[in-house]
Amino acid sequence: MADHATTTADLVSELVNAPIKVIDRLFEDYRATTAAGEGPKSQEFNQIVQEHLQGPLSKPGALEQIPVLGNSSSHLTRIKCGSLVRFRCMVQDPSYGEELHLTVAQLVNSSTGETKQVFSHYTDADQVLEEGWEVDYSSPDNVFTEREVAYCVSIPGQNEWAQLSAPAAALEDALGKLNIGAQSTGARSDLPRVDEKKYPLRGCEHSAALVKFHTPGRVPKVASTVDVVGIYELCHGPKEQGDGDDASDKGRWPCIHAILFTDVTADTLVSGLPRPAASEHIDRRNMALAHLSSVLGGDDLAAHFLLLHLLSKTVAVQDVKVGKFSLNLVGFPLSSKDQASAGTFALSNPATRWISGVLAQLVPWCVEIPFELKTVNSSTFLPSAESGDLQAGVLQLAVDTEIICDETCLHEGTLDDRGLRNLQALQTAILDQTLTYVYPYQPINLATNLRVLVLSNGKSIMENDCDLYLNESSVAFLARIDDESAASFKPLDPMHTEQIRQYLELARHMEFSVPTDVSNDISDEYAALRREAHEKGEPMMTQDDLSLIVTVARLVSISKGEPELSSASWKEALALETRRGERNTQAKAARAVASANPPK
Amino acid sequence: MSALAAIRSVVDYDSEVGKITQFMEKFVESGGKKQVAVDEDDSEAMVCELSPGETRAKYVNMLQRVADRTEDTVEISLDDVRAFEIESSGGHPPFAFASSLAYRIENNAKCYGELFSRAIDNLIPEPSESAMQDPDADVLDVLFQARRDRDRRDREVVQAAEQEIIKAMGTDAEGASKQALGVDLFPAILTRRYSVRFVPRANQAAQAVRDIGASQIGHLVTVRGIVTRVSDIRPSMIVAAYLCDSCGCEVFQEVKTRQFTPLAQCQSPRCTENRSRGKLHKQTRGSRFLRFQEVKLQEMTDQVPMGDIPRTLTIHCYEGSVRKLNPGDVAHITGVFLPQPYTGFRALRAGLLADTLLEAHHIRPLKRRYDQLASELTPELYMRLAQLSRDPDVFGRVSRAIAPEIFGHEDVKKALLLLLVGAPTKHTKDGMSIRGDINICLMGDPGVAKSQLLRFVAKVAPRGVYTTGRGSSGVGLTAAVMRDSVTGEMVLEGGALVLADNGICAIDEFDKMDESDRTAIHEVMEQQTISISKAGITTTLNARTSILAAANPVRSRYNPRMTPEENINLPAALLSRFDVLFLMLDRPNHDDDLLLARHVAWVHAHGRHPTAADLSGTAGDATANEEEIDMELLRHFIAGARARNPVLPRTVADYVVGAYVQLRQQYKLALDSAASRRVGGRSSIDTGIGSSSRSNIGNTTPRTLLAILRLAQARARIRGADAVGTEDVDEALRLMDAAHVTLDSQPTGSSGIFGERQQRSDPVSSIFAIMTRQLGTMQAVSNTGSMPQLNYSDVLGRVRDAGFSEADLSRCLQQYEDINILQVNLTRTRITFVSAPATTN
Repeated sequence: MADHATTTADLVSELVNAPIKVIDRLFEDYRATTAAGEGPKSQEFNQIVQEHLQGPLSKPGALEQIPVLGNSSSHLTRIKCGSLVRFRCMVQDPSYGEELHLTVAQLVNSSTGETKQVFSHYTDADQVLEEGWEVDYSSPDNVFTEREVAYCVSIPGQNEWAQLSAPAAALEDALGKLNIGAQSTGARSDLPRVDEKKYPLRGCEHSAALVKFHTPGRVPKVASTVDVVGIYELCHGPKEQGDGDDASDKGRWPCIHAILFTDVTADTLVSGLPRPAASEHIDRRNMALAHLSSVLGGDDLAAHFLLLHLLSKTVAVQDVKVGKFSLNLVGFPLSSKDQASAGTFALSNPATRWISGVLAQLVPWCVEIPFELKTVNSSTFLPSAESGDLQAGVLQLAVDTEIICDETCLHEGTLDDRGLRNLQALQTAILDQTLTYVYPYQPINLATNLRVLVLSNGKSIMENDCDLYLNESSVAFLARIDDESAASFKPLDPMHTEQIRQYLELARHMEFSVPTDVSNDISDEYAALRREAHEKGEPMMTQDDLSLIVTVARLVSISKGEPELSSASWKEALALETRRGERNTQAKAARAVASANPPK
Repeated sequence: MSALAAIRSVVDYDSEVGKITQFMEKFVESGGKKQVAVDEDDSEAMVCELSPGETRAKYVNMLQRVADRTEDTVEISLDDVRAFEIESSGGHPPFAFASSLAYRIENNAKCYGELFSRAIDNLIPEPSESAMQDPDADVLDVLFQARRDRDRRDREVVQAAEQEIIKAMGTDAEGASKQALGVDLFPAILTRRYSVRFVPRANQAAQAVRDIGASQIGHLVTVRGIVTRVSDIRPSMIVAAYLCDSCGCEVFQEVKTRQFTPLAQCQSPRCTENRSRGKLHKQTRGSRFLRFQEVKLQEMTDQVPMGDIPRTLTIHCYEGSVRKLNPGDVAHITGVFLPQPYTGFRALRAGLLADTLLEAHHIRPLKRRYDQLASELTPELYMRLAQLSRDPDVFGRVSRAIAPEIFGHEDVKKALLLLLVGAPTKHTKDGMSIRGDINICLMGDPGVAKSQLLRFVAKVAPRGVYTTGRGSSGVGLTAAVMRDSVTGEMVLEGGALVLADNGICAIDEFDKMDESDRTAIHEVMEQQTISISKAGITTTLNARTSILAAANPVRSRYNPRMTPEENINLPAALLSRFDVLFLMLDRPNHDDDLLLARHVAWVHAHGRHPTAADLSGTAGDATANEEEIDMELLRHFIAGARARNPVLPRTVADYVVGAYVQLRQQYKLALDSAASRRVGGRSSIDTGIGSSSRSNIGNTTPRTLLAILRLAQARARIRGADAVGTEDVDEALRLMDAAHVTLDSQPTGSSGIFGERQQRSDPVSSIFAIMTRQLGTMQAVSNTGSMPQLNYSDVLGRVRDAGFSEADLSRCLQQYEDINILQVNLTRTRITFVSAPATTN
């Protein structure tokens, strides 16, 4: 321990390049410490390995030395088997279940009767046995380890800035791109297998790996996002042992033996900035509002609602879901039919692409769904396990994903059975925040946490929590936008972008409560409003309306960084809602007039 | 025997075989205290009922049957093993389970299966005479016979030779000849015509797939799940037979792994002696195959932790356990949990990875989920249930546990509870059955939480299906003929209604369904079957399901200016099939609005539903200190209630008849008045006190009588009673009435919106009207001569339903007491009518 500085650096580089060696050494030490009578306990040993790794890797700069598996499958070829790797991923299918592994296997020589032990952990590499030796499966000294296998994919819709950064790998990345360019002609066959059907956005570039968690019972849930540090390998798929006869790497799956894994949080996403003080929240809020307002062409109200939408997060406890806030912005220019990008998940309308581009800078993952008949009819939105293996659907997205639906490219045509189901699935996701996993005989509804933003010309075909007509200046601004003007728009400076990102992430995950007195005030006011409306013969506020206003109030409070609902926010929410109501009635009336007298 | 199961302690297997032999020989089953808890459904249990005192050597008899080839499975019940051990341990009651044979079997089932087989091999009796004349003796018998004959001939030759040799050289050659005979023995497994199966202890709990881990390798475990995939039945070779072309002797090879390398060279002593390298040819006829089927078991929704997705487990079924399961079945499967080393190329390189599978020993499909709930009852739950059923207001309390997040609608919730419990289905001798499932339709304004109620009910019921009328076609609801994607065969696929067999089908947006689709439901709602004749398939599927429908009135809001019929707009044929039709209208009411808003605010504040205690400031203190009924308890309560079968006593039957006649009379009156209205050209509803106040929503048909009976029986089930009482009938009538009360009183409060519809009557006369109506029903059903009386709390309940306060009621009572029409007793529990008012007729 004396020459600490040098050993750490060495240790890290050894860890990164030959982790198995380190682990083998650790096991020898561990073996020495255990009592002779007892066999080694795999859980205990896992703990030791984790602790051993955590130390050196928590040193600044250490993590960056580990290669990153990004969201391109070409990365898979560049990573050396048996080295450490980092992977920011979404758990797509944790149902691969348990796998048993003979961590300590007793070997017996059939001719001489000798026995010996082999140890292998955090690896599935086949042991090449010498002549005459075979595994004695019935030996009592065998130690089985169980681990759970999950199919993980790079997070769908992950934006550039939210990817794991590996400074050392940046150069490598560039090199890799060059390589790919050079060998793209036909050398793709050496890529390890990646199942296209298990990635939500078909046809998009992604990477994937089987992640083996050595901590049974602590496997992340489906659709959660994790940062994994583990040993990279190629292995056979656990679900297809029948055709395990081909020896080459071609039929193998990329696989990561997870040693450390953590959830992706605001701190890991925006690691560069210190957490802001509570007082800074208002500043950041104003900054965000100003930014959003300017990109929307100066519509202050829309900016407010868009910010609230970005801050929303569904909190589901028992059967109630609170805090969901899907938004429909009305007034985007229609895209012409010939702009249609056939059947992919990319927006073609410059105006919606503009908004999407802006949001991509602010939220870690956002997915674009153009409502093009072809796309909607040909893809599947719901994940399905009817065939035995869980295949991803478009909506099987990571927690907190922003979904931008572009309705401006919806044209007349036939929505077939599948398309209808898809839209229904989206509608359920919007209103209930549940996603149905189609399992044979028993569809399973899982709570999701997706924010849906619908951009449309008229009122959306989807029913949303809140819809808002953009004001005239904004509509005009959006109609003018094309690729050139979008490019000439001065981008927000990086520091501010980073601050807004952090603000959004932190505010969204804030603990929030509603104090009793405020809730009582609200109740009284609701009853009073209802009575008033009834007396005037106006439509009464329904439970849904109330829920919406409470949600708005809640988000207003959150946007100001308040940990609990304040009466001021409630008032502000009422005001916002009133403004929204007026705006919508006006806009509708204006549109009615416009359609009655079409411009000649 | 792939003994991957590590045997850690040293066990003397020979002594174990001895113990097993003893058990098989000595175990007697006595009728009085048969330990095996045989499920009613368990048709496979071969145990005949024994009269008390009679005893029977169960396993000796079983072996005889095996020897006679009438049976091919030896089922060893671990309960029997345990019982035998306790008995034979000679009065040492604290006999630890962990040191018993049963325990060892459970922990090393695969190995003990082999030990049992060994014991049985020794024990198996000669087949009784009758069995020997079996004309179609299988191939192996022929082979054995041939073998025996040849052996005998050989022996004669050998013996003759031996004698000569012995004469010549003494005793040396004796050993050699014995050796030659010894090698020729058949492998034990080839001659066994039975398979040993273990039946788990009755109290072994079923686990979820994810609970089974490495620690249970080799153990006998029980899992519960839904079968998603079943393979065809295929033969699986366990003994391969070969014929040598040079020496003509059969060689047998036992197959213990999934794949094996066939023998090529004859190893028989003759061939080795002669160095003839005889070539072996595989003999399909002489090999032994097992029936084999692979089944995929998936976790049930309730076993999957929140936010996770289900896991699957591969089950291997052999011999007796094949063909027991179909896709979609829910089953308890007991079997040995085994690792399966990867085979083929990877095994050669000593892959250390293994897949896991379960080798099925005992399969118990669960047909009725409520039954299974009963078996999962824990003592703690039992206590809570018992406590709950002691509560005098058990009906009210449990009904409040339905959709606790929805405020109010107590009567609707009560009806839904009755729907969940249902009445017993009656089967007549000629195979007809009378539906016991209750159908309910909720009709109401948008935003009165109909859908949530539906969702909740579908969630509580073990086989609840929620669907929307708009989203499902008639085919989607009933059944469809589809082409299987894997095999390309035509298959019949059940729709929502078939899936909800023995459960509840909740159909939202009932009104938005196509007329043609809705007719598909007619059959389900009364006959409870679905008949299909499509694409060459003609069949009738069971759909014994309760239908819970929700619908909006015409033009989505209830329009008081139209008649109820115009508002509801469902064909009478359909309407009459609903036992209860609820109208849920959205009316402003300051107190309710306030409560509702509090509720919403509470949910936002705390992220959970408030309990009664949380809102106790407003919600009345009676409910404040109730224990919360969670969904688990609710399910068990319903399961418990469903197990009862209350009878209808004669007196109550008469009471029901009376009530029904009264209803019919009202219906007749209503029809008459409707006719006269049409003649007279009046358009609005007659609102005079009494006459048609029980609005003729739907018709009173003979089905109504059944509906009353069903509701009453369901309520008796909830009370835990063995017989239906009059109070059950009253409650049934009240609920059927309550549905209309909301409607009748609807226009009273609304003055502003519909200007021309001014307030017709003050609360006092409305309340009086309610009372007289109630009185009318009472009188019709009980023809007692004394002065008619009403229960104060009943009246209060109805008055509240009608949207009045208790103050209104007391004002009304005061006024009528003054003019000497009625009297209220001092304790205010009873209202007596002094001079019976002119009621309906």
